Amino acid sequence: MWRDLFANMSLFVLPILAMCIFVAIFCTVLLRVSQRARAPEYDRMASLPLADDHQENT
Amino acid sequence: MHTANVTETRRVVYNDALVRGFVWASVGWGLIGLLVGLVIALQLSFPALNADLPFLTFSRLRPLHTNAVIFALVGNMMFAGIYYSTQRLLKTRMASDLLGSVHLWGWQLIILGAAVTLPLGITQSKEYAELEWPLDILVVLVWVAFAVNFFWTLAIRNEKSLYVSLWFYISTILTIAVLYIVNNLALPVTMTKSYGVFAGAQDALTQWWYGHNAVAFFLTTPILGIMYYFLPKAADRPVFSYRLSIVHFWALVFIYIWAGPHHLLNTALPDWAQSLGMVFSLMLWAPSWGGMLNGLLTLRGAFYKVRTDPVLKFFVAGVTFYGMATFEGPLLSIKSVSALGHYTDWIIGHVHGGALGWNGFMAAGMFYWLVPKLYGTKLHSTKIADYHFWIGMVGILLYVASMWISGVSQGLMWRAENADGSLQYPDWNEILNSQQMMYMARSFGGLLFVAGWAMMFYNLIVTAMSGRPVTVDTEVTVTRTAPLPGEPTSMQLVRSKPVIICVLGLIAATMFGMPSIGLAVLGLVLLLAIIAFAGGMIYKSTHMGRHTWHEQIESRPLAFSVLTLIAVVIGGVYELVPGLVLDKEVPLSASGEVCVKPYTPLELTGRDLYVREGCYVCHSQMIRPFRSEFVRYGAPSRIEESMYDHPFQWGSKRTGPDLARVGAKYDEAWHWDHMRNPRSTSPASIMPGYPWMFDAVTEPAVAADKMRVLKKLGVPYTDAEIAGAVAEYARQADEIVAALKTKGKADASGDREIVALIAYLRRLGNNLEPVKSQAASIEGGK
Repeated sequence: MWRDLFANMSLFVLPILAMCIFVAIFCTVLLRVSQRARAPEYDRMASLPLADDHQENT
Repeated sequence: MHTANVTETRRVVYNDALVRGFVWASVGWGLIGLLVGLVIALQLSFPALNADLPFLTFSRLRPLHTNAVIFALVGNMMFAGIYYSTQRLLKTRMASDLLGSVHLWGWQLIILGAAVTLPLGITQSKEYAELEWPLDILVVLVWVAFAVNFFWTLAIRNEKSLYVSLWFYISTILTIAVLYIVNNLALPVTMTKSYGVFAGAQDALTQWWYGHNAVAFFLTTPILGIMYYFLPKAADRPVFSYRLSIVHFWALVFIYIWAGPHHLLNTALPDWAQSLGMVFSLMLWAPSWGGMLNGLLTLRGAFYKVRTDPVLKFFVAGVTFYGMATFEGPLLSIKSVSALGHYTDWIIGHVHGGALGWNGFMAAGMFYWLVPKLYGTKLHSTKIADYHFWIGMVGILLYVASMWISGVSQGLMWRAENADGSLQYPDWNEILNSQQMMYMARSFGGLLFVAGWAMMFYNLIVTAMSGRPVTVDTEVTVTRTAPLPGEPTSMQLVRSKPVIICVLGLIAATMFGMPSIGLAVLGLVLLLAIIAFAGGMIYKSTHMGRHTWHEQIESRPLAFSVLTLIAVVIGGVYELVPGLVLDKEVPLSASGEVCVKPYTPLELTGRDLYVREGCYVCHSQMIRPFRSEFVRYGAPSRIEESMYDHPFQWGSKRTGPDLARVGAKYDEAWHWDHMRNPRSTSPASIMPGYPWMFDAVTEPAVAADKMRVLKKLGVPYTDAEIAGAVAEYARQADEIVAALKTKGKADASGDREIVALIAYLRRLGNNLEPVKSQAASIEGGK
């Protein structure tokens, strides 16, 4: 069965499948990182550029 | 995860003199670089503007323009941004003032060296890597000073965690070092001439691995680091998604490095290498747009500020141009789109959308924000900055739109055929001159951009004069965390589970890419299994509230740098593998011999003159396997034809026609007339004349030195050929002179540069017997 499947399969299917996997993973990651509920974990890191605004004396 | 935290206060005095130096260097050199661009743009409409002077000629000034914009304008701007933000993000002064000064003044010396040598024709002819070997060594030394200072500062930092900007800076420093050194490996012949160690297709692959990633890691990653620091500061709110910045960083540095071969689509490069470049270029869409959105969404709730704040105007437009350029780049990497757009003005438009829109506007935004702070004052005129923005914006749009129109028109006209299969536009100059309106529009757009930049120069100078250089003397809060027992070391993090999973994933993906259906399916199954396992691991760790791995490497510069280097090197190795195995692609004769003869001493001398004059700037030597190109130029180029070419001359732009088979097309006398005054043979030509080559004499003895060096690099010259180089030079030169004199060129003399150049041009397309017979058979069967 597998032999028949491979013999009749167009090689074009494989790169399309790979592209789908890539896009699916990327979208999943994008959704995951944009979940605002978990943002506080990185609040301190994200605020680092703003921290020195309150420190500098000139 | 940390215990026994100790908090203390420290006094820090930032080294902002360094930042000021780089800011003014960028603004000043930038103006010169942009003006040179304007001059050469005008030369495409008015060729006489070079005044028949070699150092004002398009082909010599164009490399100066690109180098000035990349290394002087963007380079100095990048260093200013890096030095300013790094000190503040790490809460410490740069580790060494001396190394900082070496970097600042050494970099300006390099730029000065480029400004002198490139117009003199001292060049390697590899795009954005034109500088000859003494300057290359200086670049490496200065870069090492920069790197040592940066990593030393990381080591003495007062902030444990490394902010995302610093990751991008790390990737820039490491990757540019690798790219620059590998692409510039060369053996010197004289102080001003060297031959690169790679030849032909290997050289092409290495050059575009470098060229593409110079765009990636010199024009993109450091500016993204600057975006992640300065945009939140200007908007006064943190970056939209710090998590997205993690994905953005790793995806970008990993994928970018693979995409170089998209500069060589439809060439003689093996097909699989081209496809690899195309696929990874398409993948770049995702992280690039992730980064763009992260930048733009940082302004959420503050978009109203864009109306009044010129800094935010420039940043928002700059990031938007980044999005446009990174959409267009992958689009142009699709083979069929590349078939239309490559070698045309479309590429010029694409490049300028990125360089002027992304780099130029990000630089302007940063300068308008930075200079008032560096001089303890307010910006002299917000109104002038606003005018700069709008003039610059109109300039870029005019420039890019005109190049799109002319580029697509060129691509369509090159391939247009009549019903009988003949070319609809066989006259090259008819195609070129139909775009003159667009060339004028491009020049006007460039003029507007230069005018805007000059306004900024004035605005910043008056701003600086209204204040005084500020020394920032500040107190920073330092929190020292005591490590927990059992906390992993940097090297343990490098070989931790997430890294191993990524490596296994890469192996599975490689199996998937192998030309065997069994391996491909096995690779796919493994890939899916690894993804499922990784997903489960992430879900589990999320469920347990642990997100420690990336946080851990963020506070370990060593681990972070090693992993970044691995991510970059993997792509580099995969991309350069074709270079190592290309010999297998070279068809041999029945007797097993390669049917290509190295250049004669005269041809070699002529070839180096071709390189000196920068002919590759406007002429390709790569006929693509399209019917229209066969009809116009002859049989498609083959990989072995350029196997002894140090450096390769495939080119990337066709302002003039391809020259790969020009040798058989015109005789010596035609080249003689054409090189002295192109309008004498092609009345509508916009090519400059090269009259100085008719007076300058060559040094035949140097040809022997050149052959000796090339022999060391694998070109099969015999000792007898090298010993007899001068005699052979004179013999061939006499032949050409005799041919010229029969056509009435009485002043022809064998010791002149023009004779050597004609010898080289006549050789083009005549160095491989199979191609000649193939062309004859196709011609016969037509």
